[in-house]
Amino acid sequence: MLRYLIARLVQFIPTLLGIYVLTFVMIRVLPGDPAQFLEGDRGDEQSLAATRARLGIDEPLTTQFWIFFSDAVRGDLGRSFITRRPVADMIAQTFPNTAVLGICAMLIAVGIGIPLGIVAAIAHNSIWDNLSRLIALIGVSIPVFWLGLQLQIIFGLSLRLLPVSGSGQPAHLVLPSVAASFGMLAVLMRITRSSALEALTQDYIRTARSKGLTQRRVIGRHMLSNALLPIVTVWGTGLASLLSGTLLVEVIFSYPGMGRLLVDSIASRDYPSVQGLVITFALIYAGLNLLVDLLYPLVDPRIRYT
Amino acid sequence: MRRLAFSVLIIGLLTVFAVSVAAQDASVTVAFAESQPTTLDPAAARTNDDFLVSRNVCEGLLAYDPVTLTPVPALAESWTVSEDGLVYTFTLRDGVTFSDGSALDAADVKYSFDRLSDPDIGTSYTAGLVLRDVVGWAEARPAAPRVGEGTPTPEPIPPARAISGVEVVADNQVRITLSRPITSFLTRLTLPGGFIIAEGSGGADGTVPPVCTGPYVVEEWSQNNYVRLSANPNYWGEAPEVQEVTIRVIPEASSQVIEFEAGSLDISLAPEADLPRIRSDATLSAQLVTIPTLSNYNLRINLNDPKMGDVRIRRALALAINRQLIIDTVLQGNGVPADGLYPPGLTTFDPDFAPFERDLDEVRRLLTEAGYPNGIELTVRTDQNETENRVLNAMAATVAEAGITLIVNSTEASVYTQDRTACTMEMGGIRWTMDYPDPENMVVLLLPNAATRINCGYGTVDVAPQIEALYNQGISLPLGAERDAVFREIERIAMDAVLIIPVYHGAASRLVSSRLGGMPIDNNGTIRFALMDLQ
Amino acid sequence: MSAIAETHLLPRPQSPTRLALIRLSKNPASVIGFIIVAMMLLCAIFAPLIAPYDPIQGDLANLYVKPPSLEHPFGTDAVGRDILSRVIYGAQISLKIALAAQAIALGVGITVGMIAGFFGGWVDLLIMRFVDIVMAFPLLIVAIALTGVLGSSELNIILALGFVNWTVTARIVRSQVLSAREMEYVTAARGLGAGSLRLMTRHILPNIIAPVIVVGTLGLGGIILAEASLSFLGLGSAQQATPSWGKMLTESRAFIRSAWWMPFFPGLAILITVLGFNLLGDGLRDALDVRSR
Repeated sequence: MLRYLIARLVQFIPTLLGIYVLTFVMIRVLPGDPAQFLEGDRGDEQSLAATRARLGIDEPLTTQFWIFFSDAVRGDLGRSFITRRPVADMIAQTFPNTAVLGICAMLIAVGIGIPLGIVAAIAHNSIWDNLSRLIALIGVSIPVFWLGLQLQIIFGLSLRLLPVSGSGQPAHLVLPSVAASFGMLAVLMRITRSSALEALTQDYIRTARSKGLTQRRVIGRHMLSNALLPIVTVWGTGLASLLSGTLLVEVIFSYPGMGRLLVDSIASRDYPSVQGLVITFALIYAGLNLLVDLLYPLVDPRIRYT
Repeated sequence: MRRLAFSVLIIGLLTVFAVSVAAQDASVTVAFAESQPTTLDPAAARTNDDFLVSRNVCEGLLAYDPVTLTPVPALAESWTVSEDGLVYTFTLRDGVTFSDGSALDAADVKYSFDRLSDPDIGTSYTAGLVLRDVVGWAEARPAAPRVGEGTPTPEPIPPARAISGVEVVADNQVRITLSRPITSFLTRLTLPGGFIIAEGSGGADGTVPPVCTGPYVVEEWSQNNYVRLSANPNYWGEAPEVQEVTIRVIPEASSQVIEFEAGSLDISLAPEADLPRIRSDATLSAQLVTIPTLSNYNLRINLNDPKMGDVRIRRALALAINRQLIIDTVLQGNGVPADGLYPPGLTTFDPDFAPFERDLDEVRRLLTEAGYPNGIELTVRTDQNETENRVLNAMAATVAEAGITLIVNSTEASVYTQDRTACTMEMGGIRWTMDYPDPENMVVLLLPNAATRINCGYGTVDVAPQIEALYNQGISLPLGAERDAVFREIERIAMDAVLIIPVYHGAASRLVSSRLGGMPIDNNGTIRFALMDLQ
Repeated sequence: MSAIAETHLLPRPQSPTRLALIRLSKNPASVIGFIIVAMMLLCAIFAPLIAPYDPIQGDLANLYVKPPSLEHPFGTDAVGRDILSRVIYGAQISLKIALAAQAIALGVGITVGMIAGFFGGWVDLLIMRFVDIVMAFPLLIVAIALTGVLGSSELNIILALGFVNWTVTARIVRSQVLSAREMEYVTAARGLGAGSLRLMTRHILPNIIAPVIVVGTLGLGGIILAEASLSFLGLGSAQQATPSWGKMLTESRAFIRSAWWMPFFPGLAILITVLGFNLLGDGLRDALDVRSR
């Protein structure tokens, strides 16, 4: 397993490099000038040039790349053009917020999506089944930011139950995590339902039933364990969509996470900050995928690390 | 597992009710207007959120009067100006201490201005406003050599890291020498760039609060969350009534209103969209405060454009806009129609100056004369500010009645700025909020080199030399009627040539809790905790 | 099961396409999906005929932010425009962008996926690494970059969405080709001397088209959502006058308190349209008997 892990990590290096280069080039191709953003409408051509020199963006692209890249390799992501603070600090500050939001959303998705899927499968073609399927369908079709707005209107503005923005208290997490969880919840429910349905028709379940095992034990022991593999698979891709979903959710709910920081950094052409964040997002994404791959053999002994 | 999920949800819902909102007695909670400060360092302050902190924590040699906005003595007790208007000698107030207990002396002033002049610390906007006319500015901010200038490319000149025009004369006296006589210098000393910090304080990034002399000190900056201030125990002036201040980060204006209504904010923004509802609510409307901002929202024109280069078309557009309707609907009354450069509140404002009274017949006549008898299609560019997008869309609706099809094209701010610099647009919306209350700050809009990056043809238009000459004459005149007359003349010339199309002078609404007496918001729109009485 | 029953009922053997269509029409969910998609397409095509008012020119003086009424069932917005008309015109923009972007995504995805799967080896490795990079890349940056480089138009949003979405198709096509490559008919064709290009276009492509159709339909919903998200973040089509649903949502954000109808109806339109594509896609998957994984 360790060997597999190392091999995977080595494989990931060129991808990461590619992402870094692409980010570097793309952010610099963008029209707009960080110096101009800093200067506002007031500065003249002279101070603009001086600011460009201070930020180091008047150098040829290759020189800039080398400076940024060699720093990044040494773990130095540079300083933000706007706040002048180390980018690593800014990420360290926002990452926990995004992680908490993502984990909460995932817990909601898993905690509701899987039970709902099982209920739907057991009560196949009943009203509960149809209702769950409808929820799942709406879940994958609803724009996450619109859902966020509606949640704000209902729970924040009309019922006054929950704060509509900000962070710091647990209450601030409720609406954003519900909004962010919906898509993954739907996907999990669908896949649980279909794999549970499939499992129900399998011989071993029939055998288990005929042996007189109670419904609960059949579901708990046999069906679930066989439905786990597809769930884990979807969980991996679901996390990726969750990650992009939290970006919008953070913007809607003014939540101080990495997604909102990225949106702001792009708007202000804060090159070091954008580069640092994109790399961080890519690392998280790759890490989660790796985690899923590592989980497979635990869930299904037939799969081996290769 | 299902049971677990439900209990998680219930716990989550329960915590909601545990959120306490009660504000404590001597403490006040407000919110930043935009998002959060970019810096605590006054030398780098450039956004309104930066200013909110700096203006409550630090002080300059001069301050502005909260009502009249004119410069008044602050850390400098008195000053003299030489006959030629070039040399200012400031005498520091006795007994002023910094928040760390140390006494203010001339070395602190010199340190603060040197630091401001350092390109690694003082942002060029902040520093330029205060120091650009001070001797030594050119050495402190040497121009970067242009690519291809000389062979080989010359090495960049290192900045002086000090400003030679600011000198210590005595322990309590500082002399500042200007490179040209300019009467707005004293006004500009009241800006955050002119704030004095204790020698040796202030970090490289803006997260370390500098040591200042103001009524409050920064206790804590929780990134993206809040900034907490407390009363400065060593304050040299009268101790403020408000002892604790929390400034929260709540970027959405509508969220601020909700928090205000819930009692967890003492001051919130009041966005136009919410104004009808606020006004119809007796409790809320009693707490609504509207303060005019010294600003001019206008359409800046690419004078080199074939269509917009024609003054008849510019005038036609200016005459076609129904400004009052836009203000009544989109802005919900927050603003007054703009017919010239200067907003009400400046001494140069003239209520009778109204060159752009709506006249649709005249619009059609002008368009026909310019060769567009069947109407014309024009495009206006803007960034994504929501209010301005609504204003421009509303404007498009009003000018359509006169046969002008106005297409509103909004892009990301950086793209917009870039295109504006490149002069690839017909015209673009600009919200020009004055940096300091002096007509001179509005005229820079028209000058060829003071705001070069939004300048497409402003330097070559036939009235340009006339405007520049008047500007140079006006800035050195002493404040008063003669100076105002010069600036009014500039306005008349510029509006005759329709160099910009003014739309409105804005106003900002806030909800201010009835428990805050005194002057919670000064006439500059800044929240001033030291001026509050608690009821 | 049902397919066998059909053949017994009907006099002559059916083509696979017809069989699939029959199966599709027996599934109520996919019929609903089909109806929704068809209705939205009709709205888009005949918007000028259906929309009761001008979507761009409003009546500011009389209709500034009015709640739904008989004359304006969806209410009016902050410039006095009829929201129903704007939602109808919005279908035109949203569908146009989604279809064009998906066409690009499918074109590129199929080509790249086939090349990777067919040639294998380092070509495959290189391509799949690139796919990884693109997949880990935030859509936001791509969208702004293209807006900047190509100027502000619908084209760049189409390209950005296409650029991001081709990877999904490429992956699926590649895995299909990998298994098809070893099939007997391919080996046979190769034995008969068919060249690579001929093999790919004549023999492999027709056999992998079913999953592509399913992915293409399901993906349309995702693209409409992505377009709305980009518009919401202010990166959609630049012209304010063209009412994209996402843009309408952005414009109404300030009004969530005072005018619920402004964000509600455009969002509902997105929800229903995406739902339609998802229902149709699910139905197609069952009808074409494509395994979900």
